[in-house]
Parts: sequence; C-alpha cells; structure tokens
Amino acid sequence: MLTFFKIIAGIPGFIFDNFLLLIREIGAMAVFTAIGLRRMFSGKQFFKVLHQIYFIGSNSLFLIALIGLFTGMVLGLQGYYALKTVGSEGILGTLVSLSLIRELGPVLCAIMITGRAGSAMTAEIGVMRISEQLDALEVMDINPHSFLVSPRFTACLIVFPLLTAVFDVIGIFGGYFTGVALLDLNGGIYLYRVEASVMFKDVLSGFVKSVIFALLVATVCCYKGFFAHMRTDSVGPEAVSSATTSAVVLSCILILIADYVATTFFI
Amino acid sequence: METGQTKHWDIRLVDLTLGYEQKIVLNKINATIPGGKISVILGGSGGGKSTLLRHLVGLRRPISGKILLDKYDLFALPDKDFKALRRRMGMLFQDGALLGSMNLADNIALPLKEHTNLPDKIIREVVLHTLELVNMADFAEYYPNELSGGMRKRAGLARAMVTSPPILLCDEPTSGLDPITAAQMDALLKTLKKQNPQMTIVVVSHDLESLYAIADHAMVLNQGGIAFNGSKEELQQTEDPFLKRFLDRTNIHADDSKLPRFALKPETGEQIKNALDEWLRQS
Ligand SMILES: Nc1ncnc2c1ncn2[C@@H]1O[C@H](COP(=O)(O)OP(=O)(O)OP(=O)(O)O)[C@@H](O)[C@H]1O
Ligand SMILES: [Mg+2]
Repeated sequence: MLTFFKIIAGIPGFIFDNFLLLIREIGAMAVFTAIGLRRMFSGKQFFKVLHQIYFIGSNSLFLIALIGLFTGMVLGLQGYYALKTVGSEGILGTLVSLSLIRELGPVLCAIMITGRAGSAMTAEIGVMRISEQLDALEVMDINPHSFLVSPRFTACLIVFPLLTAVFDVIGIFGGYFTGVALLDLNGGIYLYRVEASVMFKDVLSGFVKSVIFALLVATVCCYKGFFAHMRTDSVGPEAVSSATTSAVVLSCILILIADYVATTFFI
Repeated sequence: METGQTKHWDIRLVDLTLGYEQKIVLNKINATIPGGKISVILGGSGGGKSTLLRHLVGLRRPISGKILLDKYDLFALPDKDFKALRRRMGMLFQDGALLGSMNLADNIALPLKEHTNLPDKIIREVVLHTLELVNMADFAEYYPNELSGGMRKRAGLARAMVTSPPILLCDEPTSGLDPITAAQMDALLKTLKKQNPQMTIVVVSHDLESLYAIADHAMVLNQGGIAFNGSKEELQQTEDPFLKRFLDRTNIHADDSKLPRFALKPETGEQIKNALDEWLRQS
C-alpha cells in the first residue's frame, strides 16, 4: 500500500522532470535551427547544397512519384463511391485535387522524405560524431554547422516544395486514371472541377506547409545526429541507431502536429 | 591579437585537471611544453595522452586549471581569438578521423578548399605533394575505409600538415606501422621540423624508438600525474625506478610478483574448458 502511494506521489515529480527535459530539448533545437539558418549564407555552400539536393531530392523522386500515383488513385476510388451515394461523383476532381494540394501532398511527402533521406541524414551525422570526424572538422576550423547542417537545411527548403508539387500533380492524374479510365467519369468534367476549385490560397497553404515541414525535418534529423554522443539511453553504434529512430518518429509526430496548426490558419 | 608566424610559443599547463564526467584522468598537472621543439609525450595505455591532446586543441574544457599558449589562456579567450589560435594548430587523431564519405585527396584538400580561394589545380598539386611526403600518393582516390589503419594514420598526418600549422599535434603517428614506415614517419617529422625551425611538434607515443629518434623534449605521464618533464638527455640519465623500468623494456617482467586481481577458480577453469570442448565437438 505504501509503495502504491509512493508511486502516486512520484508521478508529479516525474512529469515535471520530463517536462523540463522536453523544454530544454525544444530550446536546444530552436538554437540549433537558428544557427543552421544563419550559417546558410556563409561561404562555399553551393556545391554542398547541390550534393544534398541530389541526395535528398533526386534520389527520392521516384518514390514520391509512386506514392503520389497510388494516393491519387485510391482517393479517386474511395471518393468516387462515396460521392456516388449522394449522386455527385462529378465533383471527384475537386475532392482529389483539394485533399492532395492542401493536406496529403505536403504531409505524405514530408513523411516519405523523412523515412528515406531524414533517417540517412541522422545516421550519417551520427556516425561522423562518434568516429571523431566532427571533432576533426572543428580542429580544422571548419564549422560543422556550415559544413553539415546548413547545406541540408537549404536543400530541404528547396526540395520539399518541389517534391510536394510533383506529388500533387501525379496524384491528381492518379485520381483521373481511376475515375476516368477505370470508372465511368467524364474526363472533361474531372479536369474542369480541378481547374475550377483549386484556388491560389490552396496552393499557397500547401507550399507554406511543405516549407515548414522541411525546416522541421531538417532540424530534427540533423540535431539528433549531431548530438548522438550525448544520448543517455545508449552509446556508440547503438546511439546512432536510436538517434535515427527517434529522429524519424519525432519528425513524423511534429509534421502531423504542425499540419494541424498550419491548417487552422488557412481554413 | 598578434599572431606572427615567426614566434614560437611555449605551451604551459597550469594546475590542469582533466577528465570525463565519471573520472579524472590527469590531476593538477603543471608542465611546460617548449615551443619550437619536438616534444614526445609518453605514458601507458589509458594514461590520458589522447585526452591531453584533445584539451590542447580545445575540443574539451578542463575541469580546472589553465592551458596557456604563450600568454594566452586558451579557455579564457574570446571565441574569435581562440579560433585564430586554433588555426595555427594541426592535429593527427589517433585513428586518423578522416571524413569517411570523401576520398583521400578530397580529405586532404578540405582545409585548403574551405579556407582559401586557391584554384583547384594548385590545391591538387599541394595535395599530391603532401600525400607523397607520407608515401601515400598512390592512394589519392581511395576512401578511408579502403585503407589499412597505418595508411589512415599517414593520411591523417598529411591532412594535419597541409596547412603548415606552426603547432602540430600528433597522436601516436607511428603505432600500427611497420618498423620501416615508422622510421620514415619519424624522419618526416624531423624533416618537417628542419624545414620550419619555428614549428612546435607534440607527439604522443609509446614508441621508445621514436622517442630516441625525434625528441628534443620528453614528458612522461603516469597515474594521473607527470612522472617526468625535461629534455631527452635528462630522461636517459634518470635514476627514477619507474622511469628506468619504462625506458628499459627488458626489465618489465620484474613485475610478475604481483598477483592478478581476478584469478580463475580451478572449478571455473574446468567449466569453461568443458563448455568450449562441447562447442568444438558440435560440427
Ligand atoms: N569519451 C570518454 N568518456 C569517458 N572516459 C574516457 C573517454 N575517452 C577516454 N576516457 C578515459 O580516459 C582515460 C584516458 O584515455 P586516453 O584515450 O586519453 O588514453 P591514452 O593515453 O591516449 O591511451 P592510448 O595510449 O591507449 O591511446 C582512459 O581511462 C579512458 O577510459
Ligand atoms: Mg590515445
């Protein structure tokens, strides 16, 4: 009985401690982001950024196209039958294009890039950390932020909106394919609905979201790798692997939370 | 801050205590590493030699005490001046610490590419020349993980040398090398010193051969303190029993009177033997 009360009494302290840890981590990440952003304009970034764009963007292109296609197709399928029950399958174009452009495009894209490139960023920087490569950079007076973090920031900020755009366009054609080619919707109506219902504001909201996600993913993934040696739960190679896992998980959670917050501003 | 290339600066350790969260590695040491000379730091494995170097380049802060470079306190300087000082240091890490995603040529070109606007052609020339000095020119296009430990070490030295730093810190440049290559490395350090008489070179080593070959000055770490700090000649003439044992490897087995702390019980030995036998019998 006594232990039971002890446990109960310990809960507020436990929550408080973890809350403090959380606040500290958020603060550290904010500083990390600020440094990374500021260093984006320090010299000799061009080729590093180019390399990162290639690594993060070009290598993810096929995956994004594939996911976009199937997302659009399944939206078309579900949307068609749902709308048909109320006799308005004609507005399938509206449904597919708006849900892709406003929500699914930026979110799914960000989550896919996190899985594919974000995890790789964390692992790469983490390995460099535990094998003293970051120390070596520092001794050579090469700022690890300018050298490793900022190029990834810039690349993410460029790549996320572009890949999102690709995702949206391919997704809309996926919907067209299901609705028009497989089911019996009129192609002209589908495209007309797309054109008539997508406003500049929708595109803007998708764009802003993808930029926010880019910053979140780049920050979280670089940060976790950068401080892989400070982890309390594991050391060495295991610290890199748990840093990678937590970077992916945290990125995905933050993407969804940020998506909700951003949506409230645009609705 | 004046940072003339021509001066050479003593490195002074004042009441320096270093270590990690859980343990103190060196306790309240005081010593001067003379500038413009080759100093060799000796000490047993785990004695804190690498830790000391890591502090000398400012990668970690001491628990207490100061490291003075000439009159500048390394850890009390404003960030800008500290960086200015560190630009004058090159360091060879114990296992090279080359960037794994770049080939050797790019690794060694890195400091030049980041800090100068030299055209690629000239950088390439310098890189190949530096690699040639450490006998690695044939491996310019290799990646670090395609090389042996000794080769990585030599490439690491090339990277530390390429900016011609007035202060060069080397963590075990000769360990893991065969006697001939080790001798070449020693010769290289001596040549480097001869070409730049102002250069301060600090070499960590357990290698007595290197000590005799290159050192002007020697420092021996033992049990968290400094067992010796002085010229090589003084070290060779020392009467201190620990130092004599350290310098004369043939005497080391004199220590076998000490009982091991973890002796195997007879039945444990038997158990292990049986278990291993069984494992060997499985085919
Ligand atoms: N990152 C670290 N965290 C905690 N303790 C460490 C760390 N690195 C080294 N140590 C401890 O510090 C002590 C000194 O280590 P150091 O690497 O400086 O020894 P060393 O003299 O360079 O040995 P060697 O000749 O084998 O390279 C060791 O006891 C080691 O356990
Ligand atoms: Mg060492």
